[in-house]
Order: sequence, then structure tokens, then C-alpha cells
Amino acid sequence: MRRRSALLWAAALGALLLPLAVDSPYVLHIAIVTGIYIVLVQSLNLVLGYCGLLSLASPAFFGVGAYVATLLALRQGWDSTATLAMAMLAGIFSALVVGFPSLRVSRHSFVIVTLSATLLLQLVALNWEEMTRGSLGLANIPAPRLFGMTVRTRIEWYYLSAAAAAIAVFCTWLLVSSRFGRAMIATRDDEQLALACGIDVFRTRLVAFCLSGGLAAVAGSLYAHFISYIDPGVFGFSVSETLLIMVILGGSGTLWGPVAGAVVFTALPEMLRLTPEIRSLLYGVILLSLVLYRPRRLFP
Amino acid sequence: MATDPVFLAQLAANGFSVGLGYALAAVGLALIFGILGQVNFAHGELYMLGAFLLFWAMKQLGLPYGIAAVLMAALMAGFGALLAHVVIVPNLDRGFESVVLGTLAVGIILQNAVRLGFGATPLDVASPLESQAFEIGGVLLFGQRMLVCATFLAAFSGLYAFLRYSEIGRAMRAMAQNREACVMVGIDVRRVTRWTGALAAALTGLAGVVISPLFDLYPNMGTEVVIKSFAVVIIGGMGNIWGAAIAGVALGLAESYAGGLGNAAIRDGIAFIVMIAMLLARPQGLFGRTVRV
Amino acid sequence: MHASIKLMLSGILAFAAVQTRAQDIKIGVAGPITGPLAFLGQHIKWGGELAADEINQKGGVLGRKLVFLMQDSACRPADGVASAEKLLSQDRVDVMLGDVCSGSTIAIMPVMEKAQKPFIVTISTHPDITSKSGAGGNKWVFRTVAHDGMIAEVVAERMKGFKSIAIVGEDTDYGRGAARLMKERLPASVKIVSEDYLKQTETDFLPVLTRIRASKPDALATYVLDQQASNLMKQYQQFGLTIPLVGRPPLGSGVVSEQVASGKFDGSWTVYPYFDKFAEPKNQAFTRAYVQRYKQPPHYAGWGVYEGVQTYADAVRRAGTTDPEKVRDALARSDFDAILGPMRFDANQQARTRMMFIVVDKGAATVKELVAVK
Repeated sequence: MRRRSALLWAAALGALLLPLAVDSPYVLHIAIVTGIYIVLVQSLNLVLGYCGLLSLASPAFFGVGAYVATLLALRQGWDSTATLAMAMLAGIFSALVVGFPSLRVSRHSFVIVTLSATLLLQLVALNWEEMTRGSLGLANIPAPRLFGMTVRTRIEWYYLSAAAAAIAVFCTWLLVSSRFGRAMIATRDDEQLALACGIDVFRTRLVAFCLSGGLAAVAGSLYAHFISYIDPGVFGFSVSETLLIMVILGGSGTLWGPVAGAVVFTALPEMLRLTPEIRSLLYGVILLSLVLYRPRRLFP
Repeated sequence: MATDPVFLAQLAANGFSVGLGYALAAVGLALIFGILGQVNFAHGELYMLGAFLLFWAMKQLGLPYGIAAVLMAALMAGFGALLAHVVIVPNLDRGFESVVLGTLAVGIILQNAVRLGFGATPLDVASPLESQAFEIGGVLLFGQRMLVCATFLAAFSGLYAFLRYSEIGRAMRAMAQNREACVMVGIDVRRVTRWTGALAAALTGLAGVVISPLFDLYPNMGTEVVIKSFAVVIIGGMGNIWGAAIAGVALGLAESYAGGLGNAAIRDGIAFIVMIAMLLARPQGLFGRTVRV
Repeated sequence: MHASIKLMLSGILAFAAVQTRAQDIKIGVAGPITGPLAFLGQHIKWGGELAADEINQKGGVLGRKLVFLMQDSACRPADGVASAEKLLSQDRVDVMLGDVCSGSTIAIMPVMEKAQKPFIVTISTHPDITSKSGAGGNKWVFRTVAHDGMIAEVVAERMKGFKSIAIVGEDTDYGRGAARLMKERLPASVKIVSEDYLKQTETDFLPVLTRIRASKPDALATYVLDQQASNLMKQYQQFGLTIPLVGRPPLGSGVVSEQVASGKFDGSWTVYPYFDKFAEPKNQAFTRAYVQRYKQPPHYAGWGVYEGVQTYADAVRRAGTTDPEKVRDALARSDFDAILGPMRFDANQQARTRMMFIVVDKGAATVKELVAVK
């Protein structure tokens, strides 16, 4: 345990000093993306890891966050502090709308209903052209302005993304170590028993799902500002795929496992760029071997 | 136009033939789900592989369509057994997440292996029925699509008989109901798992083999199939194969009318809307036979 | 165990990226190696490598060798940006070429502006790319192909004779965007009876074709890419439909050559940036080399990248250096004889290239006319 916390402190210190050690914009770029993914994995971890519900709706809230923040920044010229808050609210609200019906069905059906919700939202983004410009997408998303500071350079971006990741991990920790967190875990481990203990299973799951939606939306708005262009592709299944890999192989239902998963599975596809032609094939092979030989989690 | 009976009848004919194709493509997913309680994310790639194997058998081995189709469906059965052995058997006692990720990985591998082996240029397989069309009272019926319907009928009758009368089929049904009890009465659960994988892959490969001459072949062709199959399996009641058949036709018809009377965007949304409405009204699916988690 | 790992590693290295040396001139591109558009990615690689090899055989540029490096974007903006970052800072490419999908290309544009390296867009046809380049703001972006607005102008002009048309397109910036630009320019006398935008992965056109069979428009304006067009044309024949495909069907693509040869599409036409059966010596030399090497005629994407590499090589020769600032200025003053005629850029750094008006007659697609932009 002591070795583990020493390792964590070392990792945190390393993360803090990273921009001083490397000057490659590419490495920083990957690090920034990793930070955004850490926010996302914690969002999925809340639902999958602590409530035991396999949700494919992460891209839905990610996309909602991206669009809300982008539209408010582009059309209304809002400050990013405000757009981020609005994106988060929109994420929570859409999670409420999706979760209210889908959390009533069985765990298996939940997988498919959340996937359908994502694809429906994608259709809305494609067809509501007056608002979203449909498939033409929204370009020139401005650099974020937070508390009067504009985040422009990659180093500034790195610290923004690292801060977001740290806050996401901290909030997850606060939540799961609270009374409510224990209720979440109880609903995951034994639904009947949780009911018998007087836990409102549906309400517990709904609240967790909404918080997860809020986190995903924050990640979405950061992504939109960082890449500076979004189109309905942000609702695509590929985000779900990556997240599932990160959370499950990292160790779902643990605080740091998914974080490690996010680091490894953002870096791995980039490292495989060494062999562009067979990169995806290798990725599949590595993934399969991990599932077969290290099915629980990557790290002890 | 919307009240023209020929137009409406054509939409019905389209919906029927497309829907039976959906059912045929989905039944493999339903089997793995119903019997093993696992979600196969490589389902679309099994369909794709069936189609590419057919292309290979016809182009490289020079086999005629009929023989190549049957042979390749049989080959797919072998592949399905292997897939079940490698990915599903070791994970039977773990949560379904492991199989989700494992089959996802297999899907990625298959897509890329096919891309590297066959190239990314879209390919075309020719079937003798491909360009046939018959007109009955102004309504067009298409040869290859009729073959899909016939294959569906044959496959489903065969599957029904197999599950009903064969020893292994009975074991599969037993496993769908209670796996622990199966172990206790001495059923070899691993063997049943491999058989289920083989059967599912053969049926999915068969779907690929009869449906693919309608379209071009490319490594990502399974993506669309897997989403439609999920919809069919959900609407029909998880793991209920007759439910899947009826759900396939219902979805085919709904899409056909939505696309014909509305437009393509409405058609794309209809599967999801039907699915969500379905689950809210009857969480156990159209023909209720819930699989306990 | 050890032997098998060694074998695997050597296998991987055999596939690994081209070995480069510091003095080489490096050209990077982000394109779809995987995903539904992998087919176009393949042509990007072929076109780029062919151009680089041809130039290298003649002694390279300024005595230096050209190296073509490609990374997978899967046509997604985020992966496009990651590819560009990798190529720029790890491989230190001197120039980037644009992706197929406009979304990815647009997302890479600000990265290039930050990196201060030229970016030559050779395939994407989204009009926003031009309006944001050169005088529009980003001085590093050049485009060698006609954009959707320019093509829509020509298409709408040729649609004047129809009383009614139906539109079918892919549900992307290309399908929807190009169709919208065409509609805006269409005279009021042409009635649009229906519009359908299908997912890029959709293969079934039955509902659309059933409706068109009943509504009988004069023509079907088609905005889908090759493999979808092939599926559409297969089903079109089964329905016994005879109205022409117009607008931008990829009639010149090898993927649909069988359908075109059936003679059922006689009278169909398209306006495309490029088609390989264009009888001019310069193009014939290019297609001959391409077919010899890759056993397939060049696709529009292959041609685009080939021209892009030539455009860059020409600018470097005139600049006498690969210094990005100087090459950029040289690019802006480009005036050389490309396959489709003179390559010159306007104030928005958009090439005023000619477009091909392609008509199907007696089962063969031929270039009827090269249309210049006003």
C-alpha cells in the first residue's frame, strides 16, 4: 500500500513536471488528449465500475457537451467558464432524459438502449442543420477563456487538461467514498440486498448516471475547444469502444485503474503509428491478448 | 403517390425481403445471447468474413456460387467454434465485459486482416440470381432477395429442428435456461458453447453469403449489420429466435414505409425509436423470454 | 518463445515506416488507412508514392530525395490532428497534404498554422477550406482541387433543362453540403421532388428507388462516393430505372465501370475534378505508370495527391530551398503545367483548375469538356 501511494505521488509529480522535460508538441498533444480521456473514463467508471451498468451513452453526453460549449462560444461569444458550466448542465440534463427510461430495463437491454440514444442524438445533430450546420460541422472554435485567461499554447493546454483530470479523479473519489458511493456499490453487488437495505436502487443509479453525463460533457467541451472543429462524428461509437477498453482493462470499479487504462490506451495507438499499415491489426492482437491473459486489470 | 396501391405494395414487398434478411443476419447474435448470455461484438465481422470467403472461393478456387456458398458457410462454422473456444469458453464465468472486449478485439483483427489480405478496393461477387427481377402486377420482386427469403425459411426450419430434436440442441436449450443446473446434470458446458459458436457463425456466414451479392464487399461492411442485428434481437426478445424473425420483418417493413413515405433520415431513426419504445412498453421484448442477468 | 517474438518483431519492422535520412525532403499526409474510406486511403498512398518515386528517379528535388509518409486518420478529425502532430514533430515533415474528409482537413489547418509549414489540400472539397485560406486568414493552406461551390456552379448550369429532379446523397459534409450548394444555384423552374441523405455505410436504396420509380423525376442528382454509388447503380438497374444520374455520381470510378459498361446509364453525366480516361498525353503517361504499378486506374484521390506532390516539388525547385516561408511564397506564385492544365492559385490560395464534364455514351464514360471556372 505504501509502495502504491509512493508510486502515485511520483506519477503526479512526473505529470506536473512533464512539460519541462519534453518539448515535443506531439508528446504534449498526446498528454493533453490523455487528460481529456481521464475525465471521460471516470465518467464511465461511475456507471460501469461502481454501478455495474454497461453504458454506451458516453459519446452522447460527450457530444452534447461539445456542441453546447461550441455553440455558446461561437454564436453567443460566452466566456468558457460559463460555457463549461452550461455544457455540464446540458450533460446532466440529457443523462436524466436518457437514464429515466433506460434504467428501468434489464442490464442487458440497458447496453442497447444507451447505444440507440447515442445514435439518435447523432441523427439529431446531422439533421438539425440550422443549429448545428449538420454534417458540415462547426469550425474555428475559439481558444478557451477561463477566469479571464486565454488558454492558447500547448503547455497552457496541458495544465488545463491535467487540472480537469485531477478534478475528475478527486470528485470520483469524494463520491465513491461517501454514503451515496457505498449505495452505488451496493446496487452493483446485489440489487435485491440493496433494496432490502432501503436503498432506492433506481434513484441511486439515475443520480450516478447524471453525474457521469455531466463529466462526459465537460470532457466534450474541452475536446471541442482543443481540436477546434466538431461534426456529428463526435457521437460515433469509436469513443465508446476506446473508453470500454480503458475502463475494463484498467480495472473498472477502482479509482486509479481506469486512469492507468487511459494513459496506456491513449499512448498505445500512438506508439503503433510506427507501422501505419498494420497499426490497427496489432492493436486488435494486443487487445485480444490482454483480454485473454490479463482479463481483470492491467496492473496489480 | 402515397395512396398508389402499387407503390404501397412495392414498399411491403421490399420490407418483407429486407426484413427476412435482417432476421437471418441477426439470428446468430440471438443464439449467442440467448444460450450463452454473451454479447458478440464481432458479429458484423462474421458476416463480412462469410462474404469475403465466398469471394475467395469463387475467384481463387473457381467454384460456382451455389457450392461456394454452402462450403463457406460450413467453413464459418469451424471458425465460430474456434472463436467460442478462444474467447467465450475461458470467460464463461466472468462478467460479460470480458467477452464484449474480446469479441471487439476479434472484430478489429478480422477487419484489418481482410483489408490487408484482399485490399481496400470494394469487391463484387456475382450470383446467378443477382440481376433477375420479376414483375407481378407492377410490383418488382428481385431474384437474389427471393433467395435470401428462401434461405431464411430453410435456415430457420433447420435451426428449429436442430434445437428441438438433436441431443446437442436440447443441451443448448437447457443451457439457455440454467447453466449451473446443466453442469450439475453432467452436460459439457464447454462443448455446448463451441457448438453454439459454430452454429451462430455458420448462420451469420450464410447470411453474408446470400446477402452480399446484392452489395459491394469491403472490410467495414459489417458495421451496419451489427447495429441492425442488435435492434432485431432487442425488439424480438433477447435470445428468442422466433421473436427475432418477427422483429426482423417488422423492422424491415417499418423502415421501408418510413423511407418510402418519409425520407432516409426518418428511416434511419425508426429502428432506434421502435427499439426504445419497445423496451419501455415491454422490457422483456416482444415475445418475452428474459434472460436473467 | 524467444524465436517467435523475434520473428514477430522482424515481421513488424518489415512493415515499419520508410527509413528516412535527415537530408530527405519529407512529405506527410493524414488519410484513412482504416475505416469505411480505406479504399481512398489506399489511392492516397499510391498517388503519393508514385509521384515521389518518379521525381526521385530524375534525381529528386535540389538533389535531395523525396519521402512520402502516411499516417492513419480513419477520416476522424481527432485522429487527423494526432497524425499531423506526429508527422510534424516526430518525422519533421516539410509539408503536409490534406485528408479525404473535410472535417479532418479543417481540423488540421490550425495545427499547420501553428507549425508554420505549408499545407496542400488535394482531395477535400468543402468550400470553407478556401474561404479560410490565403486572404481568408490561414496563409499556409493551398488547395489544388476545385471546391464544392465551384463544381455546384457548373452542375446547376447544366441542370436547367430538367423540370423535376430527385436528390440522393451521403449524409456527410460532402453529400449534404454539395447538394445544398447546388440547390442554392438551381433556377426556380427545376422542381425538387425528394431529397434523401443516407449514412455512408448504408447499402440498401430500396425505399428511395421505390419512391423515385413512382414519382418519375427527369433526373436523379447523385452525391455519393464510389462504393455507395456501386450499390445504388446495381439496385437502380434491378428496378429498371432509366432516368439519368446527374450532378456528381462517380461515373469515372473503376468501382462502377461494370455498371457503366452495361449501357443502362447512357445519358448520365457528372462533373468531377478528375477522371482517368482523359485523353491528353500528360494524363496518359500518369495513368499508364499508375496502372502498371498498382493494377488499377488512378482514383480521383490518387490523382489529387500526385498533383499535390508535384505542386510542392515545383515550388521547392523555384524557391531553391525547403525553408517553409520561402516555399510558401513560391507556392503562391505557382504556374506550372499540371495534368489538368496550368496550376495557379487565387487570392484565397485556391487553384483555378478546370473540372471535367463527363458523359456516359454507349456504355463508356468520356470527358466531353473541360470546364474552366469563371
